[in-house]
Amino acid sequence: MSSPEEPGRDAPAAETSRADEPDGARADGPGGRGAEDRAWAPAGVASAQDVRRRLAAALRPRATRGQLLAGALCAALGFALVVQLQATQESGLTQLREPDLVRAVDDLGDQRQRLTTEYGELLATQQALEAEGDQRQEALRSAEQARDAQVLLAGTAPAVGPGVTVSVLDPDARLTAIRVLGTVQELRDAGAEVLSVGDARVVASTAFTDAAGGLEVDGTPVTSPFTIRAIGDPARLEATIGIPGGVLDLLENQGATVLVQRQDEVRITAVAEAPQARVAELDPDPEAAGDGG
Amino acid sequence: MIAVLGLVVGVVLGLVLQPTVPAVVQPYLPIAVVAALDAVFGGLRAVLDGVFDDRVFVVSFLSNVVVAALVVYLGDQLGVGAQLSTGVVVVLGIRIFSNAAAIRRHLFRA
Repeated sequence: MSSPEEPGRDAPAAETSRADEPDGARADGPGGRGAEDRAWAPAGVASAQDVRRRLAAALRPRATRGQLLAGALCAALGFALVVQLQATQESGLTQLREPDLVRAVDDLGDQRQRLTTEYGELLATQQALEAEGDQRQEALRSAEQARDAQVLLAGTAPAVGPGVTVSVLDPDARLTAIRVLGTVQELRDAGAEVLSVGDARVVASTAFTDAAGGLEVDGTPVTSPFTIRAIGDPARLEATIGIPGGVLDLLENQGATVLVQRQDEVRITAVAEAPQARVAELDPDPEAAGDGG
Repeated sequence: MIAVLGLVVGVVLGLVLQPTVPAVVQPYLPIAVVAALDAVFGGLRAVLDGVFDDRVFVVSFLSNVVVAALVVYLGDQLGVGAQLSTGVVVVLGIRIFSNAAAIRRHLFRA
Protein backbone atom coordinates (compact mmCIF):
# COMPACT_ATOMS: atom_id res chain seq x y z
CA MET A 1 0.00 0.00 0.00
CA SER A 2 2.81 2.44 0.77
CA SER A 3 4.38 4.61 -1.85
CA PRO A 4 8.07 4.35 -2.74
CA GLU A 5 8.96 7.56 -0.94
CA GLU A 6 7.25 6.63 2.28
CA PRO A 7 9.31 4.29 4.30
CA GLY A 8 7.61 4.39 7.68
CA ARG A 9 4.33 2.96 8.91
CA ASP A 10 3.41 6.39 10.15
CA ALA A 11 3.40 7.74 6.65
CA PRO A 12 -0.19 6.78 5.70
CA ALA A 13 -1.61 8.62 8.67
CA ALA A 14 0.56 11.63 7.93
CA GLU A 15 -0.50 11.63 4.31
CA THR A 16 -4.18 11.47 5.11
CA SER A 17 -3.98 14.09 7.75
CA ARG A 18 -2.34 16.48 5.34
CA ALA A 19 -5.19 15.99 2.98
CA ASP A 20 -7.86 16.37 5.60
CA GLU A 21 -6.71 18.63 8.34
CA PRO A 22 -6.04 22.29 7.84
CA ASP A 23 -3.39 22.58 10.49
CA GLY A 24 -1.52 19.48 9.32
CA ALA A 25 -0.98 18.44 12.90
CA ARG A 26 0.49 15.05 12.04
CA ALA A 27 2.31 16.06 8.92
CA ASP A 28 5.60 16.76 10.68
CA GLY A 29 7.01 13.39 9.65
CA PRO A 30 9.17 12.94 6.59
CA GLY A 31 6.23 11.48 4.68
CA GLY A 32 4.24 14.69 4.96
CA ARG A 33 6.63 16.80 2.94
CA GLY A 34 7.15 13.97 0.58
CA ALA A 35 3.45 13.74 -0.13
CA GLU A 36 3.19 17.44 -0.81
CA ASP A 37 6.14 17.35 -3.18
CA ARG A 38 4.80 14.35 -4.97
CA ALA A 39 1.43 15.99 -5.49
CA TRP A 40 3.07 18.71 -7.53
CA ALA A 41 5.78 16.69 -9.26
CA PRO A 42 4.58 14.44 -12.09
CA ALA A 43 7.67 12.28 -11.61
CA GLY A 44 6.39 11.24 -8.20
CA VAL A 45 2.88 10.20 -9.31
CA ALA A 46 2.17 6.55 -8.74
CA SER A 47 2.02 4.33 -11.75
CA ALA A 48 -1.29 3.44 -13.40
CA GLN A 49 -1.14 -0.10 -12.06
CA ASP A 50 -0.59 1.25 -8.58
CA VAL A 51 -3.61 3.52 -8.80
CA ARG A 52 -5.84 0.79 -10.18
CA ARG A 53 -4.69 -1.60 -7.52
CA ARG A 54 -5.39 0.92 -4.77
CA LEU A 55 -8.85 1.71 -6.15
CA ALA A 56 -9.70 -1.96 -6.37
CA ALA A 57 -8.49 -2.52 -2.85
CA ALA A 58 -10.56 0.37 -1.58
CA LEU A 59 -13.65 -0.82 -3.41
CA ARG A 60 -13.37 -4.32 -2.01
CA PRO A 61 -15.89 -4.40 0.83
CA ARG A 62 -14.31 -5.16 4.16
CA ALA A 63 -16.61 -5.08 7.14
CA THR A 64 -14.14 -3.62 9.54
CA ARG A 65 -15.32 -1.21 12.17
CA GLY A 66 -13.53 1.69 10.50
CA GLN A 67 -15.04 0.98 7.12
CA LEU A 68 -18.51 0.76 8.59
CA LEU A 69 -18.00 4.01 10.44
CA ALA A 70 -16.78 5.73 7.28
CA GLY A 71 -19.83 4.41 5.45
CA ALA A 72 -22.10 5.75 8.16
CA LEU A 73 -20.42 9.14 7.96
CA CYS A 74 -20.81 9.20 4.18
CA ALA A 75 -24.47 8.32 4.62
CA ALA A 76 -24.83 11.22 7.02
CA LEU A 77 -23.11 13.50 4.50
CA GLY A 78 -25.39 12.45 1.67
CA PHE A 79 -28.43 12.87 3.88
CA ALA A 80 -27.38 16.33 5.05
CA LEU A 81 -26.46 17.36 1.51
CA VAL A 82 -29.86 16.44 0.11
CA VAL A 83 -31.71 17.98 3.05
CA GLN A 84 -29.78 21.22 2.72
CA LEU A 85 -30.31 21.34 -1.04
CA GLN A 86 -34.04 20.93 -0.62
CA ALA A 87 -34.20 23.48 2.20
CA THR A 88 -32.33 25.99 0.05
CA GLN A 89 -34.63 25.37 -2.88
CA GLU A 90 -37.91 25.57 -1.05
CA SER A 91 -37.39 28.62 1.15
CA GLY A 92 -35.33 31.64 0.26
CA LEU A 93 -35.90 33.80 3.32
CA THR A 94 -35.55 31.23 6.08
CA GLN A 95 -32.00 30.52 4.92
CA LEU A 96 -30.94 34.15 5.24
CA ARG A 97 -28.95 35.40 8.19
CA GLU A 98 -30.10 38.19 10.42
CA PRO A 99 -28.16 41.04 8.74
CA ASP A 100 -29.37 39.90 5.34
CA LEU A 101 -32.92 39.81 6.63
CA VAL A 102 -32.55 43.29 8.07
CA ARG A 103 -31.28 44.52 4.73
CA ALA A 104 -34.11 42.80 2.92
CA VAL A 105 -36.63 44.43 5.25
CA ASP A 106 -34.97 47.82 4.71
CA ASP A 107 -35.08 47.33 0.98
CA LEU A 108 -38.73 46.39 1.14
CA GLY A 109 -39.47 49.44 3.28
CA ASP A 110 -37.75 51.71 0.79
CA GLN A 111 -39.57 50.06 -2.05
CA ARG A 112 -42.87 50.42 -0.24
CA GLN A 113 -42.23 54.11 0.34
CA ARG A 114 -41.37 54.63 -3.32
CA LEU A 115 -44.46 52.78 -4.39
CA THR A 116 -46.62 54.73 -1.96
CA THR A 117 -45.29 58.00 -3.35
CA GLU A 118 -45.89 56.78 -6.85
CA TYR A 119 -49.38 55.69 -5.89
CA GLY A 120 -50.13 59.18 -4.55
CA GLU A 121 -48.88 60.79 -7.72
CA LEU A 122 -50.91 58.47 -9.87
CA LEU A 123 -53.98 59.12 -7.74
CA ALA A 124 -53.53 62.88 -8.18
CA THR A 125 -53.14 62.39 -11.92
CA GLN A 126 -56.27 60.29 -12.00
CA GLN A 127 -58.24 62.94 -10.14
CA ALA A 128 -56.93 65.67 -12.43
CA LEU A 129 -57.92 63.64 -15.46
CA GLU A 130 -61.35 62.95 -14.04
CA ALA A 131 -61.87 66.64 -13.29
CA GLU A 132 -60.80 67.45 -16.81
CA GLY A 133 -63.21 64.85 -18.11
CA ASP A 134 -66.01 66.43 -16.07
CA GLN A 135 -65.16 69.84 -17.47
CA ARG A 136 -65.19 68.47 -20.97
CA GLN A 137 -68.54 66.84 -20.36
CA GLU A 138 -69.88 70.09 -18.92
CA ALA A 139 -68.62 72.00 -21.94
CA LEU A 140 -70.14 69.40 -24.23
CA ARG A 141 -73.50 69.65 -22.45
CA SER A 142 -73.62 73.42 -22.64
CA ALA A 143 -72.55 73.27 -26.26
CA GLU A 144 -75.37 70.85 -26.94
CA GLN A 145 -77.83 73.12 -25.18
CA ALA A 146 -76.61 76.09 -27.20
CA ARG A 147 -76.93 74.06 -30.38
CA ASP A 148 -80.50 73.01 -29.51
CA ALA A 149 -81.44 76.63 -28.82
CA GLN A 150 -79.88 77.73 -32.09
CA VAL A 151 -81.61 74.97 -34.03
CA LEU A 152 -84.99 75.89 -32.55
CA LEU A 153 -84.37 79.52 -33.23
CA ALA A 154 -83.27 78.90 -36.81
CA GLY A 155 -86.15 76.44 -37.28
CA THR A 156 -83.99 73.87 -39.04
CA ALA A 157 -85.37 70.89 -37.13
CA PRO A 158 -88.83 69.63 -36.11
CA ALA A 159 -89.96 70.59 -32.60
CA VAL A 160 -92.44 69.30 -30.08
CA GLY A 161 -93.93 70.65 -26.86
CA PRO A 162 -97.07 71.95 -25.20
CA GLY A 163 -98.83 74.87 -26.89
CA VAL A 164 -101.86 75.89 -28.87
CA THR A 165 -103.19 75.38 -32.36
CA VAL A 166 -105.13 78.12 -34.04
CA SER A 167 -107.28 76.72 -36.84
CA VAL A 168 -108.30 79.37 -39.34
CA LEU A 169 -111.17 78.95 -41.81
CA ASP A 170 -111.08 81.68 -44.42
CA PRO A 171 -112.97 80.40 -47.46
CA ASP A 172 -112.98 83.76 -49.28
CA ALA A 173 -109.25 84.37 -48.67
CA ARG A 174 -109.93 87.72 -47.20
CA LEU A 175 -107.31 87.60 -44.50
CA THR A 176 -104.46 90.01 -45.09
CA ALA A 177 -100.84 89.20 -44.39
CA ILE A 178 -100.58 91.96 -41.82
CA ARG A 179 -103.30 90.36 -39.72
CA VAL A 180 -101.64 86.93 -39.78
CA LEU A 181 -98.33 88.54 -39.02
CA GLY A 182 -100.01 90.35 -36.13
CA THR A 183 -101.26 87.06 -34.79
CA VAL A 184 -97.79 85.55 -35.02
CA GLN A 185 -96.30 88.58 -33.24
CA GLU A 186 -98.88 88.31 -30.48
CA LEU A 187 -98.10 84.63 -30.00
CA ARG A 188 -94.40 85.43 -29.88
CA ASP A 189 -94.97 88.17 -27.34
CA ALA A 190 -96.91 85.63 -25.27
CA GLY A 191 -93.84 83.42 -25.16
CA ALA A 192 -94.24 81.11 -28.13
CA GLU A 193 -90.91 79.52 -28.85
CA VAL A 194 -91.60 77.72 -32.10
CA LEU A 195 -94.25 78.76 -34.60
CA SER A 196 -95.55 77.58 -37.93
CA VAL A 197 -98.22 78.88 -40.25
CA GLY A 198 -99.68 76.22 -42.48
CA ASP A 199 -96.73 74.26 -43.82
CA ALA A 200 -94.24 77.08 -43.24
CA ARG A 201 -92.00 77.35 -40.22
CA VAL A 202 -91.90 80.86 -38.87
CA VAL A 203 -88.40 82.12 -38.18
CA ALA A 204 -86.76 85.52 -37.97
CA SER A 205 -86.60 85.99 -41.71
CA THR A 206 -90.04 84.68 -42.56
CA ALA A 207 -91.97 86.99 -44.87
CA PHE A 208 -95.74 87.33 -44.92
CA THR A 209 -96.98 88.72 -48.19
CA ASP A 210 -100.30 89.33 -49.92
CA ALA A 211 -100.32 87.70 -53.34
CA ALA A 212 -102.97 87.47 -56.06
CA GLY A 213 -104.21 84.08 -54.81
CA GLY A 214 -104.20 85.14 -51.20
CA LEU A 215 -101.73 84.87 -48.33
CA GLU A 216 -98.15 83.74 -49.00
CA VAL A 217 -95.63 82.84 -46.34
CA ASP A 218 -92.04 82.80 -47.58
CA GLY A 219 -93.36 82.55 -51.10
CA THR A 220 -95.54 79.50 -50.31
CA PRO A 221 -99.28 80.02 -50.74
CA VAL A 222 -101.24 79.36 -47.57
CA THR A 223 -104.82 78.58 -48.36
CA SER A 224 -107.82 78.09 -46.14
CA PRO A 225 -108.14 76.18 -43.99
CA PHE A 226 -104.78 76.45 -42.29
CA THR A 227 -103.45 76.06 -38.79
CA ILE A 228 -101.14 78.25 -36.83
CA ARG A 229 -99.16 76.10 -34.40
CA ALA A 230 -97.32 77.60 -31.45
CA ILE A 231 -95.21 75.87 -28.79
CA GLY A 232 -95.16 77.73 -25.50
CA ASP A 233 -97.11 78.08 -22.27
CA PRO A 234 -100.60 77.03 -23.51
CA ALA A 235 -102.59 79.02 -20.96
CA ARG A 236 -100.68 82.22 -21.64
CA LEU A 237 -100.83 81.79 -25.38
CA GLU A 238 -104.55 81.17 -25.33
CA ALA A 239 -105.21 84.07 -22.98
CA THR A 240 -103.11 86.45 -25.04
CA ILE A 241 -104.80 85.84 -28.34
CA GLY A 242 -108.23 85.57 -26.73
CA ILE A 243 -108.13 89.07 -25.23
CA PRO A 244 -111.30 90.98 -26.23
CA GLY A 245 -110.33 93.25 -29.08
CA GLY A 246 -107.19 91.19 -29.59
CA VAL A 247 -105.94 89.33 -32.63
CA LEU A 248 -108.70 86.81 -32.50
CA ASP A 249 -111.31 89.51 -32.85
CA LEU A 250 -109.31 91.19 -35.59
CA LEU A 251 -109.13 87.94 -37.57
CA GLU A 252 -112.84 87.35 -37.15
CA ASN A 253 -113.51 90.92 -38.18
CA GLN A 254 -111.99 90.03 -41.55
CA GLY A 255 -114.50 87.24 -41.96
CA ALA A 256 -112.43 84.29 -40.83
CA THR A 257 -113.56 81.56 -38.49
CA VAL A 258 -110.99 80.84 -35.83
CA LEU A 259 -110.70 77.95 -33.38
CA VAL A 260 -108.09 78.04 -30.63
CA GLN A 261 -107.20 74.79 -28.95
CA ARG A 262 -104.82 74.10 -26.11
CA GLN A 263 -102.60 71.05 -26.73
CA ASP A 264 -100.41 69.08 -24.41
CA GLU A 265 -98.28 68.20 -27.35
CA VAL A 266 -97.91 70.29 -30.43
CA ARG A 267 -95.77 68.80 -33.17
CA ILE A 268 -94.24 71.19 -35.63
CA THR A 269 -92.68 69.26 -38.46
CA ALA A 270 -92.23 72.15 -40.86
CA VAL A 271 -88.63 73.31 -41.06
CA ALA A 272 -86.99 76.37 -42.46
CA GLU A 273 -83.84 76.41 -44.51
CA ALA A 274 -80.74 77.33 -42.57
CA PRO A 275 -79.87 80.91 -43.37
CA GLN A 276 -76.67 81.23 -45.36
CA ALA A 277 -74.65 84.29 -44.60
CA ARG A 278 -72.95 85.41 -47.81
CA VAL A 279 -71.29 88.56 -46.67
CA ALA A 280 -71.37 88.62 -42.92
CA GLU A 281 -69.01 86.54 -40.85
CA LEU A 282 -68.35 86.07 -37.17
CA ASP A 283 -66.05 88.62 -35.58
CA PRO A 284 -63.18 86.55 -34.22
CA ASP A 285 -62.25 89.31 -31.75
CA PRO A 286 -65.46 90.96 -30.49
CA GLU A 287 -63.65 92.87 -27.72
CA ALA A 288 -61.65 94.88 -30.19
CA ALA A 289 -64.71 95.95 -32.13
CA GLY A 290 -65.09 99.70 -32.35
CA ASP A 291 -67.87 101.64 -33.93
CA GLY A 292 -66.31 101.12 -37.31
CA GLY A 293 -66.26 104.82 -37.48
CA MET B 1 -17.19 0.46 -1.27
CA ILE B 2 -19.10 0.71 1.95
CA ALA B 3 -18.51 4.46 1.89
CA VAL B 4 -20.01 4.77 -1.60
CA LEU B 5 -22.95 2.64 -0.57
CA GLY B 6 -23.40 4.80 2.52
CA LEU B 7 -23.43 7.95 0.41
CA VAL B 8 -26.09 6.51 -1.89
CA VAL B 9 -28.17 5.31 1.07
CA GLY B 10 -27.95 8.77 2.68
CA VAL B 11 -29.06 10.54 -0.49
CA VAL B 12 -31.98 8.16 -0.94
CA LEU B 13 -32.99 8.55 2.70
CA GLY B 14 -32.92 12.32 2.38
CA LEU B 15 -35.05 12.21 -0.76
CA VAL B 16 -37.55 9.79 0.75
CA LEU B 17 -37.91 11.29 4.21
CA GLN B 18 -37.77 14.95 3.12
CA PRO B 19 -37.11 16.22 6.65
CA THR B 20 -37.15 19.91 7.50
CA VAL B 21 -33.99 21.42 8.90
CA PRO B 22 -34.38 22.36 12.58
CA ALA B 23 -33.93 26.05 13.19
CA VAL B 24 -31.06 25.44 15.63
CA VAL B 25 -28.76 23.80 13.10
CA GLN B 26 -29.95 25.84 10.13
CA PRO B 27 -26.98 28.23 9.97
CA TYR B 28 -24.41 25.44 10.51
CA LEU B 29 -25.65 22.71 8.23
CA PRO B 30 -24.36 24.23 4.95
CA ILE B 31 -20.90 24.83 6.41
CA ALA B 32 -20.87 21.36 7.94
CA VAL B 33 -21.78 19.84 4.59
CA VAL B 34 -18.96 21.69 2.86
CA ALA B 35 -16.50 20.62 5.55
CA ALA B 36 -17.62 17.00 5.21
CA LEU B 37 -17.24 17.23 1.45
CA ASP B 38 -13.70 18.43 2.01
CA ALA B 39 -13.00 15.44 4.24
CA VAL B 40 -14.45 13.05 1.65
CA PHE B 41 -12.31 14.53 -1.11
CA GLY B 42 -9.27 14.28 1.16
CA GLY B 43 -10.11 10.65 1.86
CA LEU B 44 -10.47 9.91 -1.84
CA ARG B 45 -7.11 11.48 -2.47
CA ALA B 46 -5.60 9.38 0.33
CA VAL B 47 -7.05 6.23 -1.27
CA LEU B 48 -5.36 7.06 -4.55
CA ASP B 49 -2.15 7.95 -2.76
CA GLY B 50 -2.37 4.55 -1.15
CA VAL B 51 -2.32 5.94 2.35
CA PHE B 52 -5.99 5.76 3.29
CA ASP B 53 -6.67 5.03 6.92
CA ASP B 54 -10.13 4.49 8.33
CA ARG B 55 -9.39 5.99 11.70
CA VAL B 56 -7.83 9.15 10.29
CA PHE B 57 -10.73 9.56 7.88
CA VAL B 58 -13.35 9.28 10.62
CA VAL B 59 -11.50 11.61 12.94
CA SER B 60 -10.79 14.20 10.25
CA PHE B 61 -14.39 14.02 9.01
CA LEU B 62 -15.86 14.60 12.45
CA SER B 63 -13.35 17.25 13.48
CA ASN B 64 -13.80 19.10 10.19
CA VAL B 65 -17.54 19.24 10.70
CA VAL B 66 -17.35 20.22 14.35
CA VAL B 67 -14.66 22.83 13.86
CA ALA B 68 -16.47 24.41 10.91
CA ALA B 69 -19.73 24.59 12.86
CA LEU B 70 -17.92 25.96 15.90
CA VAL B 71 -16.21 28.66 13.86
CA VAL B 72 -19.50 29.75 12.39
CA TYR B 73 -21.16 29.68 15.80
CA LEU B 74 -18.36 31.77 17.27
CA GLY B 75 -18.62 34.18 14.35
CA ASP B 76 -22.35 34.50 14.93
CA GLN B 77 -21.75 35.27 18.60
CA LEU B 78 -19.13 37.87 17.68
CA GLY B 79 -21.35 39.47 15.08
CA VAL B 80 -19.15 38.51 12.14
CA GLY B 81 -20.96 35.27 11.31
CA ALA B 82 -21.52 36.10 7.65
CA GLN B 83 -17.90 37.08 7.01
CA LEU B 84 -16.49 34.19 8.99
CA SER B 85 -18.65 31.59 7.26
CA THR B 86 -17.58 33.09 3.94
CA GLY B 87 -13.97 32.67 5.04
CA VAL B 88 -14.54 29.08 6.10
CA VAL B 89 -16.22 28.27 2.80
CA VAL B 90 -13.35 29.87 0.89
CA VAL B 91 -10.72 27.88 2.78
CA LEU B 92 -12.62 24.64 2.42
CA GLY B 93 -13.21 25.38 -1.24
CA ILE B 94 -9.49 25.86 -1.83
CA ARG B 95 -8.75 22.57 -0.10
CA ILE B 96 -11.42 20.77 -2.12
CA PHE B 97 -9.89 22.14 -5.31
CA SER B 98 -6.36 21.09 -4.39
CA ASN B 99 -7.55 17.63 -3.38
CA ALA B 100 -9.50 17.35 -6.61
CA ALA B 101 -6.37 18.37 -8.51
CA ALA B 102 -4.37 15.61 -6.81
CA ILE B 103 -7.09 13.06 -7.58
CA ARG B 104 -7.11 14.24 -11.19
CA ARG B 105 -3.37 13.76 -11.47
CA HIS B 106 -3.71 10.23 -10.21
CA LEU B 107 -6.60 9.28 -12.45
CA PHE B 108 -5.74 11.10 -15.66
CA ARG B 109 -1.98 11.61 -15.30
CA ALA B 110 -2.42 15.25 -16.08
